[in-house]
Amino acid sequence: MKIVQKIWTQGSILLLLSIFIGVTINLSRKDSVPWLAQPLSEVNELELILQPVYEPFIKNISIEIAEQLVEKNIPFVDARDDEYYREGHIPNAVSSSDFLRLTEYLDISVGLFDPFVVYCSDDDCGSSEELAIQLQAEGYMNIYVFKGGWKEWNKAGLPIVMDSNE
Amino acid sequence: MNKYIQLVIRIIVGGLFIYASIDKISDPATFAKQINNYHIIPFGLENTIALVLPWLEIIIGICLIIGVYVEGASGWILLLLISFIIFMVQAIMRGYNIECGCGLKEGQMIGLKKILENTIMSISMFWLMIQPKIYFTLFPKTGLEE
Repeated sequence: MKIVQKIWTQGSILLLLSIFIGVTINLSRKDSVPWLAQPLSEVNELELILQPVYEPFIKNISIEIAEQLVEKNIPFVDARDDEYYREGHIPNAVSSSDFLRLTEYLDISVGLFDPFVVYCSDDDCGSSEELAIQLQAEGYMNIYVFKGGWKEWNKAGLPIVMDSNE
Repeated sequence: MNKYIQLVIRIIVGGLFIYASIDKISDPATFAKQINNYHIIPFGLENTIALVLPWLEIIIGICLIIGVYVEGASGWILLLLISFIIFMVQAIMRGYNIECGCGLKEGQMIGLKKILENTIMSISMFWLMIQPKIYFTLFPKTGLEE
């Protein structure tokens, strides 16, 4: 019992210290994170998406909007592993496997303020939002996440690109 | 001999926890997303966890190595490792192929290797906790058996 009590007491002190430091540091950060995560809001107006923006944000788009953005030649970024990308991807999509190459490509094709779309396999994969956050940290401001991803695109029978040489 | 084994285990596990916490502290938003990928944390609490857990990891890692509150630190590490194992097992069973978010290596996916690593560390922490005396401590000076 004495051991359990000791672990409990010490553990509680360590936890309280961690909470205190976590709160203090987050309050003092420029890029502080909200204590509760908010789901991404969805944008359904194409004209709004196509305009450059100067405040960083990440928003969701539906498959209908994604399809129209492909037709408008807006770049897509495939957040899946390279082998899946090679097996098939959305037209206009580039692989994210080489992050440096990806940012070089985005710098040339969209710069920091024009829109582009990130997707992964489906709305459970999460790597599209993760990559979007990484790209936002690099300075890109106009980022959209196509949550339905490859599975929804493929299921809808929309055009795909298969290029094993890329 | 036993006391040196204790020290080596404390340095290895504590060092891993300190190292793993650095990326998470520097980028809590990405870590919150990695937690969210497990689809197990409700009410948007992944952000709260992402803001506190890395600090807990670095503090218990330092405490384990320098010998401060070793029992409490090893108790926390054991609890966290068991939680990580449960998180990974449920994700694998639900068919998620996701990054583990462990903070040790970028792009490391969940899998049996990670579960095995965590199991070995859990056993070592449990062994440390049941030792009658903890050596090389700064505070409190005495071990479990006073």
